[in-house]
Amino acid sequence: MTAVAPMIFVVDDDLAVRKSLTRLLASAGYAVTAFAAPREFLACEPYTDPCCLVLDVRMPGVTGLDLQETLAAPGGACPSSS
Amino acid sequence: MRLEAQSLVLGAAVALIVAETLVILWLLLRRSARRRTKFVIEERLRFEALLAELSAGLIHVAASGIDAALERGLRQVGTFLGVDRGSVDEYVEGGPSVRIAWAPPGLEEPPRVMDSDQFPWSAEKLRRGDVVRFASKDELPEEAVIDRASFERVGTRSKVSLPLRAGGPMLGVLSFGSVRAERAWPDELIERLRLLSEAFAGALERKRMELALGERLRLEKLLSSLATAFSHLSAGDFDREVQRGLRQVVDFLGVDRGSLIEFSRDGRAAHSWAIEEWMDADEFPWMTARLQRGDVVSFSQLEQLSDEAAVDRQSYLKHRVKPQVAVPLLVGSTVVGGLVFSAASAERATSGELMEQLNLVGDVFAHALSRKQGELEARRLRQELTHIGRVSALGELTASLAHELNQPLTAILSNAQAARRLLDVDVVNLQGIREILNDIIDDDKRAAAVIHRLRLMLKKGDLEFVSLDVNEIVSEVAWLVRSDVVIRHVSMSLELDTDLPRVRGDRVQLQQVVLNLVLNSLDAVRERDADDRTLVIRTTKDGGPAVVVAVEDSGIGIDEKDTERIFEPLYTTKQDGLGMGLAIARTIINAHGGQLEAASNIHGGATFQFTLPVDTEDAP
Repeated sequence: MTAVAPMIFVVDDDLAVRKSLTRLLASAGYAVTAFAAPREFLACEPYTDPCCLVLDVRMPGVTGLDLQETLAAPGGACPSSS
Repeated sequence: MRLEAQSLVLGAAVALIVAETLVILWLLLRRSARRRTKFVIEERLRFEALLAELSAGLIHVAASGIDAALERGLRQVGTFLGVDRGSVDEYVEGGPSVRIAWAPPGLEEPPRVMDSDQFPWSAEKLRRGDVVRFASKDELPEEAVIDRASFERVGTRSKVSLPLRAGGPMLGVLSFGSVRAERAWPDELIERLRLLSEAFAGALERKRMELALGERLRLEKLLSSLATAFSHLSAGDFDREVQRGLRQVVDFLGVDRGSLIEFSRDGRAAHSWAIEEWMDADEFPWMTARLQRGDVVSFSQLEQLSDEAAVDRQSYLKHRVKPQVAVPLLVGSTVVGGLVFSAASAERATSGELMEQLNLVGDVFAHALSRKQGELEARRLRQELTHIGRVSALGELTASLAHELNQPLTAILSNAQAARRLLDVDVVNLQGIREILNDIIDDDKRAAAVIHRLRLMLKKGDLEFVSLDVNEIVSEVAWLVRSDVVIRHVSMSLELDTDLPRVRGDRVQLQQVVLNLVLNSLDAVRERDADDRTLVIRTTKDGGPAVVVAVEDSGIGIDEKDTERIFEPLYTTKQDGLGMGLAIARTIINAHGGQLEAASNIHGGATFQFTLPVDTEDAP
């Protein structure tokens, strides 16, 4: 049994980009969870293990930079993948 | 004695008888002479009556019937006088004279052509206003030797000719002749014929004036018709109208061919239009060069051409051209072109009158050409400006367009890298790789579409008026700005009437207008809170023969005093604006037969809307 694969979150409104990134990261052995909008991402349960976020800057509504600010603020945390 | 007396009585009686007989004879002779005198007087009266009747009749004859009336007159007078021939030779400027002739039944008419070369002495006398008459050719003086030979040839034995003149130049000649016998032309008859010649000359003069007047009227009509046709001429109709105009002129002049040559500014023959067969300007270097110098080129026979025109002469022969007249077309002192008319059939002289007509016609064509050249130049500048406007509008979108292109490229790269990794494992997931390849193909097409649309918008070219769906144009523009709209936090919506009639226009230019209005709106909402930045693009039918496209925003709105000024060139309220976008947009819409206007919204913001006429050719 190998250890649980590290988690990478992908937030991108573009389906093609989201899908291809997911594919690439998965092929490299990561666990990947993708979201089409920052709101969807924030709505999930907090994730406590080390994780990484690949974030698109240009998105309708809340942009990538907005999301980054929210996460960097005190109390900000990555949500859970489950 | 008695015998003497007897013989005396007898003698007296004889003398008496002789005297009586003489008296009777004298009386008889006197009666016959009186009768003859009476007859002569009656004849003269009849002739006078005939002349009066002829003269009076000619006054009422229409110009077109004058020739027939003159022929009738010749017949009546000729028959009355018992002559064998009668003719009226009417002089025509620049050509042989026209002959009206009569001969009694059974006798040959006089020759149709009266050549002054054959009758130099007669012609000279007539020109001086003298009457030519001879009862016998023996009366002809020595200097009339050529005339005498000519009269012999045509069988004339006696002849009288009177000049026809009505105050002005000589109009022609009236002649009567005898071929069967010699006859005299007494002074008294000449006086009568002089009266007849005056009546004939009056009729000829009237015919000439009416024909000239008719010709003048026809020319005026032609000129005004050409000027009207050329005055509202768009560059697109030019070819057709010029062809039609040339046809009218060719018909008017009675020639076979007509061409219009246009000279460009560098002096080359740029274009040409022709009726019947076109002759390439290169084939006529001599004529073209002379036209370009502003000279008239005119000849009635090829033999008149000098050796410099050797190339031209060959070409004329090849095209079977005989007489030709070519006039330069001048606007100010610039030669803008030339008009060339030629006939393949008859050799024809160019009169002063014809040149005057050609110059007037040439003026109309010259102005049409110059207007066309000006219009083309203006159109080129307008297109240039429009293109610059389009490039600058797209420039504003560069960042978002780069993003549009970057998205599929990122996806392609990620997919390709993933596929390479999938190939590295022992058991290759072929199904997975197939899916990846399909996605790569789709993304590649998507990237190509972005480039294709950009190319279309940046395209520089002539206008293409085609039947268009306005909704499609609006959707394309919405797609172009989609990314920009996202980054600017603007909520953009399309309200498209799905039952919109088609319009006629240039796709790229109309897209440019919509793009311009949308970019303006995006700028206008910048100062608003993110939640209040709205943009609606709406298409509707206006109930009439037009489609309406409205771009409505919640931006800063327009000052009431500025709703017209914003369309002026170089007027801008933006810090980095050129002030050309809306001016160009209005020009484009006007050129499509529509109107572009701006208004403030009641609840803030502005609405720009334009109309486009419905494509009637496409209407069911």
